[in-house]
Amino acid sequence: MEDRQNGDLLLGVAFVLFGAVVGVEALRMPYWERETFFLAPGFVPLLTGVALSLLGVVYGIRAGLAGAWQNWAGWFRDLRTNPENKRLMVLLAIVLVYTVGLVGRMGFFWATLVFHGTIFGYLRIGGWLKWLGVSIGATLFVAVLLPRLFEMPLPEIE
Amino acid sequence: MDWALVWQEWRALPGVAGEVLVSPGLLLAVLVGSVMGLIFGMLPGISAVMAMSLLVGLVFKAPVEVGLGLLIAIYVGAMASGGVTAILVNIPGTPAAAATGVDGFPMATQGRAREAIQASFSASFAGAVLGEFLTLLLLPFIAVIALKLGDWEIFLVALIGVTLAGALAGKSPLKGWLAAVFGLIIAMVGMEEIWGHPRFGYTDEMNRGFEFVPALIGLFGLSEVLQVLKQKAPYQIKGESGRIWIDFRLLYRQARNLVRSVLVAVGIGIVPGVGESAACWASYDLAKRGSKRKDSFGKGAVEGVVAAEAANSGTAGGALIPSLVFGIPGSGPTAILIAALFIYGFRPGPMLMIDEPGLVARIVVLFWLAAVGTAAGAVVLSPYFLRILSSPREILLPIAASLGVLGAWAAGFTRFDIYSMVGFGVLGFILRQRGFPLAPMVLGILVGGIADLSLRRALQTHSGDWMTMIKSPASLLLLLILFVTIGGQLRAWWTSRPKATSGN
Repeated sequence: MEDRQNGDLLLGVAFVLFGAVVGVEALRMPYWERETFFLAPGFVPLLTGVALSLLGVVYGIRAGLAGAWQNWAGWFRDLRTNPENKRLMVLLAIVLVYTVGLVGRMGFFWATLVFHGTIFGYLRIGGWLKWLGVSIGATLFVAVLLPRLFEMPLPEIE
Repeated sequence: MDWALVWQEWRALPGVAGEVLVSPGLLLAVLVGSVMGLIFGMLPGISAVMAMSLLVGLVFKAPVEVGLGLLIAIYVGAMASGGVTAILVNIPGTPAAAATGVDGFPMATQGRAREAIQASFSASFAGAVLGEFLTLLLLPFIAVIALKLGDWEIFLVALIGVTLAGALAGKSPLKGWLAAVFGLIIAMVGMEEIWGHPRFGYTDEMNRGFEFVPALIGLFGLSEVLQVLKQKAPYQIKGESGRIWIDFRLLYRQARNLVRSVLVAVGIGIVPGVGESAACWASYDLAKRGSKRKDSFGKGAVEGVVAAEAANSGTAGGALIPSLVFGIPGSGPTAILIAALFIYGFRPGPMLMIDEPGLVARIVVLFWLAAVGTAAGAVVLSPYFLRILSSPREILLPIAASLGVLGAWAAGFTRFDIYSMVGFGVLGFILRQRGFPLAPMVLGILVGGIADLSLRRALQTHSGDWMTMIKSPASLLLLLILFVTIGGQLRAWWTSRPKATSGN
């Protein structure tokens, strides 16, 4: 069973760091002179960056008070061994390969067919005939029928 | 008060209704949308927002009314059918149907599934019709008042929206506020309007900023796909619906409960970003307090089903008010409607009723038509609910993911939009895992630009004097609402803070 507080603490730290980066970047934007101070492009990003960091501090402290300082080994073990996390990582990898690796590097139809074939295979939707039929049918729907219906151009090969 | 503007939409109603009713293409779009909404709403893992966000990038080629009609009908259909899953499986088909299952599922286990589903659809139908009627009455007044608001007031309305959404959309106000501020930061990316300076413009695409549609698809679509597919567990279906009808006798018997729920729903819907998920619980709670049979709640009380379902469908009306009047969405689905309006060249905001006379009446008529289409669709489809519920998620959700890629691409025809959709999907998934509500983040993304511009303009106009904020009665009132909201939530949060747990 995953201990929620450890993850909350990590997320709190991430919020604080991200807010700080936003604040620093906002200060590097121009027009911070006296007469244009409130109109400066970085004015609102600075406020929001500071707000995110402050809220992140409260969030992290809250997690810490609830016991987030303990049991890191158990938390990492759960992260590594939980079957749902493993399944998630594989699904995420398939989505990333499709969107970042295939779309734009091969025709959209073929990229989508590879995606559908891989993910339906991983999810074991049925025998090979069903797998093939559903993969091709879904790809025809997404990559051929809909784009034609809405007259939209598809991602081209770069 | 500009009464001519108030009358304008009421007067336009009969003409608009006549036009809509003689447009076969539009009627077909609403019917198709209603059926799609009914099916999507029933499937756990595909919510109204997800279905709408997947389609919004695609419908821009369709005529305005057909596109809007389709999206509105999906919204109304999904709101109505989310209750079926809650009743038969005890998993809400949409987050807004969570309260429906509290009494609906016990009814199904007692062999009263058909009664529960019939009550659910009847209440949804009445909730949608009444909610939109109230909207048509209220919206013109609020729009006329909104025309008189200055930069300070607009900024405060945006801030109240973000604060309230953060506080009420989830269980923890802190998480809601973190999500909302994160959304505001995302809205800062891109060219700012006063100097034309590219903020965080690390790439050419980031100079343009993040498109709203890919962000929506990622946050509500891809994150949901990952969330559902990572679990292997199948679900058990209790009972069967059989043929259902809209039960007008039940609606008559439950009239008081129904009207009270819709009033609460419209009131909550007006609060930007809060939406159906909060309204259904508030109405359920009030129905329980007002009932003579309080003990039966949670054990199969039909009043509970009616209150929850009337509320989640009635919220749509209230949520339209801030969406159309300020351009600040009242709920997730109305955020997508705003995106669709922008795609079609409308600018939701105080000037909308002046720029587009009759549009509000048209949208209300489309909602009514969608309510009728959904009721008709439910009657026809009800014997097949069991089969629809048994549809394999392992096939539907990967198709939803590839549809999301297509929808993100259609937003701007750049691969950056696909990448940002995936990025928002992963971010949304992580935040959901930690119990963060996503609606405040969407609200932050949407109102960030308005809040930024109005704050800086107000400060510059008044030479940086923050005290001018309290010089107009309207901004003073808004400021008071803001402080009461923050104060109340901080108090509630502090009293419910977690205690240290040893050894885990």
